[in-house]
Amino acid sequence: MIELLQYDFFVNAIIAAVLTSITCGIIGTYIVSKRIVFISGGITHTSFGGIGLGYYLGFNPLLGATVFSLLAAWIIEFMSKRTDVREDSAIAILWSFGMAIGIIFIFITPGYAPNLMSYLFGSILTVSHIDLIMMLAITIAISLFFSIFYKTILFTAFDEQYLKTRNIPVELFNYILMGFVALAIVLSIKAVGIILIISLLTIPQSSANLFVKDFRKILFYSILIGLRGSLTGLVASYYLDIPSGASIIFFLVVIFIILRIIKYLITKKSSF
Amino acid sequence: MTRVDACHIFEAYKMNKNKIIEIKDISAGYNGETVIEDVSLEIFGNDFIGVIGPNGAGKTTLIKTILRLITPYKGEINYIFKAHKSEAPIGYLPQVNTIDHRFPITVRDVIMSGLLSRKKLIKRFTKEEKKKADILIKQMMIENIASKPIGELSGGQMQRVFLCRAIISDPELLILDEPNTYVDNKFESELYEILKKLNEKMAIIVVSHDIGTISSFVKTIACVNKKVHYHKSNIISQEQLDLYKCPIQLITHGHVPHTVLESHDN
Repeated sequence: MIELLQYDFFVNAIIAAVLTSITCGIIGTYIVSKRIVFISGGITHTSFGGIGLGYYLGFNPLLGATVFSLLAAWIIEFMSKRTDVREDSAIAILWSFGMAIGIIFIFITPGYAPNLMSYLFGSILTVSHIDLIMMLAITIAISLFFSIFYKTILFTAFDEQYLKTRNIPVELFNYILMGFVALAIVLSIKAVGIILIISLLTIPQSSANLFVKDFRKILFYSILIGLRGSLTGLVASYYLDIPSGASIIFFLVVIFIILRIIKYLITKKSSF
Repeated sequence: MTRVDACHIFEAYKMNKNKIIEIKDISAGYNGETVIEDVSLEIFGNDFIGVIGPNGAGKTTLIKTILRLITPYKGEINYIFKAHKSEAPIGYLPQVNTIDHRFPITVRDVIMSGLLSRKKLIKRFTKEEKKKADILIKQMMIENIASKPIGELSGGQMQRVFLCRAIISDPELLILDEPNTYVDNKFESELYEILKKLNEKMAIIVVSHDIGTISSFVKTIACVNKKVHYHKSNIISQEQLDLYKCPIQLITHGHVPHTVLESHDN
């Protein structure tokens, strides 16, 4: 284990795992509590369009993903309030449209598309210094925003109508938060890939929610569970030579199942 | 005391009281559809108005317009509160089924959320504000559930918690939307006792489909069925309801419970 730390790429991967766990712990708790997991799925898959565009025009695909997921997040937020389109249908349309654009652009890009799999399934072992700096910036921004506006975020997520009667700029907060959801998704593309992001945003929270029912506690436990799962998955992926993203998700689910069994045993014991 | 006398006393009593909201010819609804039309209404500092009407008649639309959750298509609403306008001194108890019962939030946090205001988006709650919540929790006898997540509460407990949230900011007007659904009879009568006491300090609007229960507590009745007919007494007969085109049945045993509350006279 120690010898792994001699490799720069592995240290980078650990830092990326830590940053991803923190960001996904925070944003995931917001998503799960507010029941907008499906929206996050839509944003995630729409971002693939940006990746394709990046390939085609020759700029960093993650930059394209950032633009596309931010747009998707704000379009969904806008549609959910202002038009007669049903929100879930709108999300489904964006979801598949983003994927379609991505596939088209990658298809018309001359030559072989390198690293395409790494965006779909993640490749935390290849994060660059620039990636890490981007991740760090996003993590700091999200952590700061949540610690400064914690109670406003909690209360808006719980009952936004009531806060509107109290003259709180709820919509502004929703747009900012959806922006952070989009950024958190982009940040996680490197770690687990587009296909698996949704689990990084929900499994730690569902695990924590087995034992705690308070937003703040779910948030902190989710970060811890995310750290445990991603670090174990990372090391396992190295030794077993399996894809890192899938390995991380696998261990997160294992943690969930273990915690579920522990909870079952506790409730069974206390019922006697 | 005859009905006419009661109305006269009521008028005189109202003249001296402070007007807090003035609704002038508003029409409102959703997605271009008009749900309430040409509604005018004045609300005074110690009003206790029962809003009745059949399902879909616009009861909730009316209160949402007053709460500024809906912008009316036409007409205007003037707020003449003592507090500054940005303070939004209206407490609101929504229908319980609009709340996500599995949201991970504790009872205490729900109550504290009633104190959030534009000025407090960043600042932490002060000791005094936390104390205020403690006192309210004690008064409502919910100390034993204060740290519990809301998902573990019964219907009556839930209403108490949301009532606490609605009144913790000392509003000048309290609006309750169907507070008597999903609760047992015991809590319902307790609730009306609490409201009677609160009415000494604030105006109250309570929406209900059950006119029989509320008529003995409220001071006046607003019948909503697209239009609003304001009945300046809590005594209402089937004939009057028909006249107001308010198709709801008075369900009573023997006779309609007509009671004018004593608090009308002071």
